[in-house]
Amino acid sequence: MKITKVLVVVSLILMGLSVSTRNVSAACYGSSCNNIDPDGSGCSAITVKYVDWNGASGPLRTELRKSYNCNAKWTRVTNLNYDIRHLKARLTQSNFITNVVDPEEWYVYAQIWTVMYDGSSQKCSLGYQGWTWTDYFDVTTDPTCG
Amino acid sequence: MKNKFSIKKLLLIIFGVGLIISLTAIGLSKVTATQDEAGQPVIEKTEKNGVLVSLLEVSVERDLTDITACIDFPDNGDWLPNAVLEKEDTQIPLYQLALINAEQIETFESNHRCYHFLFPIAADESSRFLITEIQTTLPESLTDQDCRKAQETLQKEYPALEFKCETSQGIRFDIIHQPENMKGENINRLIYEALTKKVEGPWVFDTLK
Repeated sequence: MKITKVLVVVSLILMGLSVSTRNVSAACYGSSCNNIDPDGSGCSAITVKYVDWNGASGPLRTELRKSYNCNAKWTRVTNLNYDIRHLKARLTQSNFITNVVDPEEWYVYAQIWTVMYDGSSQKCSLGYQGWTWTDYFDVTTDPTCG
Repeated sequence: MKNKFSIKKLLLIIFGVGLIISLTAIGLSKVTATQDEAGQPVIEKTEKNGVLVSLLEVSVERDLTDITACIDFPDNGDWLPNAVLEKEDTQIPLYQLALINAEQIETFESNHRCYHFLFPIAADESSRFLITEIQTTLPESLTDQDCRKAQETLQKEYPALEFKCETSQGIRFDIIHQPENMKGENINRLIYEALTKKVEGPWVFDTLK
């Protein structure tokens, strides 16, 4: 009987461990991540798709980022020379038109990202870039969806 | 006595099932090959600096070349490849990169990842596909400590260099002091390099048939 008790305890510990490996320090999951900044969220991510485009204001990359431990997606837009530009990032529904979060727009950054949104369904990322002293968008990337 | 035996048997069954579920779940996080590659033959493999790249498929349609290739990255971090397509001595930069099996958590957990590399040009038999380097990206959670470390690294070559990272739903590098011997350098690019990990290639595939 003593052995069986030990076995049950070991079994429960292992089951707990298997669950914990899937959600390490995630601050949110799915729709509870909506409108949360990935920075400081504990949502680790990789890029699932990117598209590059070149313009007079320099090379631009638009990435669709996905966090698996948080099941969330967001858009990241980068000047590939890391020069400061006027950048805009959008995360939309698969029609490329309807934003799922408010667009992020900065005049003085080399890279920006949107807040997160539930990653359960397909989303699209769009990026824009212009010179810092005007609001003209010199580069607009094609939508990248996933 | 019979009851005692039944409880013991039941507990052993629960333990067995629990053990199988646990080991399966833990084991899944260490998958090293995707199903995609398993179902697709490798055309050519090349290894350099400890990184293996496998070419799986080349598809050419009008003005588009879609190359499927897998990379065994040094770890399962936020790595990305840079690639070009060479045609008649011209290097065509990558237009789009798409991760295969992107919806599976195993892809995220593994260091083995497969991609569609899309180029806005039709490759021919003389074309070459080159993955020039692989590099990690800047994490959204970049800290002041990360930037201080990068500054210390760069100060070995440029002692007077001083910068700080401005991060607020974005990143930029504010140069506080630019050394004389740095004029003409792309300082932002150098800082970026110091903040990321990189493995130089190239991994070259000569024949795209």
